[in-house]
Amino acid sequence: MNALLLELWPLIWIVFKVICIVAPLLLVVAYLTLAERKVIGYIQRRLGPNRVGILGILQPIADGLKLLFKEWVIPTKSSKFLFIIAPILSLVPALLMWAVVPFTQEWVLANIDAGVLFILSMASLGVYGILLAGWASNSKYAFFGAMRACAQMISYEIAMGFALIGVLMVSGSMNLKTIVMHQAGGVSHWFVWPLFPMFMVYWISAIAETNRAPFDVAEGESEIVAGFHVEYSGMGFALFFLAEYANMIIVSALAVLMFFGGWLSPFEGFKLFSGAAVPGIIWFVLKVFLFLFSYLWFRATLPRYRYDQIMRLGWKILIPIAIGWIVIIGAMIQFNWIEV
Amino acid sequence: MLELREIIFWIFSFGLICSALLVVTTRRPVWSVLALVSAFVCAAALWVMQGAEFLGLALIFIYVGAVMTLFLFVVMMLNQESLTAERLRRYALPFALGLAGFLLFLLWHHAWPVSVAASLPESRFTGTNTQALGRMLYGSYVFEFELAAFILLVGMISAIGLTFRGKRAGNKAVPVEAQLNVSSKDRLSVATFKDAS
Repeated sequence: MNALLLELWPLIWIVFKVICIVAPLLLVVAYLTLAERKVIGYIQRRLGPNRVGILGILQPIADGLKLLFKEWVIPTKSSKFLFIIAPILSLVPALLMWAVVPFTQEWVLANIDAGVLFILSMASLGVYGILLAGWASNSKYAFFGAMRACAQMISYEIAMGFALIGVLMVSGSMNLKTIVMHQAGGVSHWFVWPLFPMFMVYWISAIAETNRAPFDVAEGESEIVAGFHVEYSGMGFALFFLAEYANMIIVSALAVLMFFGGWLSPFEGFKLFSGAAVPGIIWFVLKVFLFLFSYLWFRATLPRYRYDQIMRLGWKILIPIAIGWIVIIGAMIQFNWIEV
Repeated sequence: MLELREIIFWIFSFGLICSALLVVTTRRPVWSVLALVSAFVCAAALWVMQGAEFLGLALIFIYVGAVMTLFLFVVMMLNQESLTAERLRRYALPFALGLAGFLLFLLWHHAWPVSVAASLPESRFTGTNTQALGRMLYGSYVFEFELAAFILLVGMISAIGLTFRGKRAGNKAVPVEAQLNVSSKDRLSVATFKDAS
């Protein structure tokens, strides 16, 4: 018995660490939905949810329970197996990406060398859930939504990949921990300064990749009802919801890791605010929340793009900017204008 | 007791063979594409287990993430019945048997070594396999690599050339410059009314 336990111990330890990542993540997802409704409410001079618990603090729990106990309707003439598996296929990659994210210098589940590539390949898998949901539903609105989402995600993946190539060139590594350590030395050493156009390209394509406003034509309530998940109810809808918000958090975390110094303090080098006073995880979480807030801000501020405008922005503006800046980075590295 | 690594290997190998069989046996095209996706993922996992993490992840990123998505996109748009036509099925079995026989002959003729790894020459490169791959592609085989890239570019341009028929007459699309130069005065006019009180 003891020998078996000893043999399985690494596995149990990994599962424990996975729970330590996923449980807070789901909590953040739940409260991000509340934050979204509150922030957008305040921006539009409303109060937002304020009835369940003090200031609506229990609203996500009430929503979760409601979705859990709702009937899951499967449309007739739908492809049943694919219909059920599609929400799972969109949630799994969103959670898998967290395996390589370093929260602080020590807290990382899998410190693999090809971390950035792993994240990119998992992000590219997310489109299958949406595509299959749209097809298996056997509904024209769902199919339109899936087609739109698919074309949009493939187009913006390219811009996103090129933006990340800039980071790889400057840091010389695909390991996320090494990328963050390259930015040590205070706010002026963060990659966002030499790579500012790349950061803009990354952030715009990240919003498009997660199908959020102003690029949410895949859901487009005013045109195609609710897009790819129009036929989903109950837990199926909840899983798509979870995947969308988990994706939002991961792309925010990536922006922080690659352009804003990850867990590093912005005041490094100042004696008064030396990094030891505030643990790295607090800086990391604060920066991620800043990006999540910008998501909500955009949604409350910007109108939805038209479909051809999205394609134009992706192919004719973002990709040329990213490719052009790669050449400039190459020159900067060659002439030693930035440290590598 | 099996090692954990070994169990993972068997899971992915079994998954690879099953999904490869499903690709050719299923009659539903969408399932066939999905089985191919699953085969790619299993193969990528096996490559990662061999230490080729760059190749494995690139396989998922490029083939599963981009190429197969477009495949699925196209297959979903096709008429499902037309693909399972009887006339196609008639030639499928003899063709498959012939191909299998040819491959078996090749294997037998060349006396395929039991262990592929043992038969490979000693690697000339030091460092990670990503570095070795980079030196190989951009060093020893740079001409062939660039040639392949150029052929792909030609293919891309010719595909556009075949499908693009120029501006059609009667197209109501507004040029982007005209859209951007619109000011609020072009769209809105403020009317003044006499005070009712």
